[in-house]
Amino acid sequence: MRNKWLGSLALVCVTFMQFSCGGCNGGGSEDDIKFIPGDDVNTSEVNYNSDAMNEVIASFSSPVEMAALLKDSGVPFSTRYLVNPDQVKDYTSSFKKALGLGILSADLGYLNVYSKTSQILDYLVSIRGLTEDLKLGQFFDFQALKRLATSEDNIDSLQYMCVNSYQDMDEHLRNNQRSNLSALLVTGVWVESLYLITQVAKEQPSDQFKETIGEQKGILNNLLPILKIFKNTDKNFEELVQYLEELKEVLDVAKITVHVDENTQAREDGIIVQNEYSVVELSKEELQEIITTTEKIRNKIVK
Amino acid sequence: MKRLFILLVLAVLALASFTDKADAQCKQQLVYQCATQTEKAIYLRDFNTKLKRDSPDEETGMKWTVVLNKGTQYRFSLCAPDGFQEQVVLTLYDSEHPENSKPYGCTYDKVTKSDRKSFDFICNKTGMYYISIRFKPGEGGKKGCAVGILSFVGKSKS
Repeated sequence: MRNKWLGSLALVCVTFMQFSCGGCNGGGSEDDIKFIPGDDVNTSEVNYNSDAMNEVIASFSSPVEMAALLKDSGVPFSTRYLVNPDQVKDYTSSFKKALGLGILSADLGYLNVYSKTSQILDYLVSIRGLTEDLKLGQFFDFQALKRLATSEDNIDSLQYMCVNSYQDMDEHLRNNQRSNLSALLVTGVWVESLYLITQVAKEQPSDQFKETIGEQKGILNNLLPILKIFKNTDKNFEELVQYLEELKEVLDVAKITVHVDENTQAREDGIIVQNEYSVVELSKEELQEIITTTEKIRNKIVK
Repeated sequence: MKRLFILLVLAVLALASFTDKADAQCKQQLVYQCATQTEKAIYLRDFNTKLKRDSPDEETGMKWTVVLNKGTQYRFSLCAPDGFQEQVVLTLYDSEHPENSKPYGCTYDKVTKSDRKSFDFICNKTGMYYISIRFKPGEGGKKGCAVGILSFVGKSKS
């Protein structure tokens, strides 16, 4: 009898230890993940274990980064680039909802960066609906966000809270065997961010936007293998992978070369300047093709 | 005996809940504090970890992958509770600039033995980079937590 109790106790302790280790495992691992730069890569041959896959998903950009770049480049605000927040009310599957949550998170980031607090509320309402349906409502404090959105003085706190909520939701999904939804969340953010910059580049062409767009080839080459893994277990991913393969085809024409500038050093103000730099070659016609394909795919995804 | 077992299970669950609560608190307080100290930079992401080192040679802390984009100036900030900050270091590196030999940047200068709360990095090549937060060599022994913040300073002007 005593042995039986001790056995049960040991089982509880082991379970607890596993639970504790899972908690401290939140995002890092000791295995190096290789970034696939883009050229001559067959993305169907890339294999990830689940930890490595989660690490790659977690590495993708924040929902405010592209908007921050656009604002810093002097691009004026425009609602024309954004999805109608009411559109997501028609989404019925978790697949669509997670993808829509990523897209709306990028749009919310755009509104936040441009301090458009008056238009944020509609997005918050739609995002709340999606988070509740996806059982992520505990990470989205709608009342607090709504309160912050009523004044432009709170924009920093609002921005912080929105990004933090997004990050918590993404982390929760990855830590709870819902990496498929996490992958959709980051795909939604990425597609919408690419859509934002390509729309701006269409109206205000610049070398900087062209380079940023061309370099998305590398990001897609890291995202696509992950979506392909889920394609095997969830048929919904098939269509998405097909769309992104189409986008990969037009992004793949971008030629990216890396050079080293031996003379580059840390600046006097202490800022570290990377001495390797990439150069993106992309013709006007090739860029136009990427813009058109991105627009087509993004509009299919949000439909 | 059955009662003892139930008590032990409850104690284990209470400890688990306390640990989680303490971690969450550490994260919430530090992330907010650290993210709002970055002046005009825009908060993009945080990296938080618990740290504990039992022996001087033990590797501690965590590393994360992050995609950085060309043409952007980023800020990496490190925050830790009082008394713990000077024991930890945040490092930015990749496979060609290893963590221990020639990382891109870190919050601790081994030569001058000086700390800085943050550093700015101008990225000239889009790709996957690593961030680590660990105890400095020879430091540790005390259990604590630390938070790294990645923020967007602006378009690169270099």
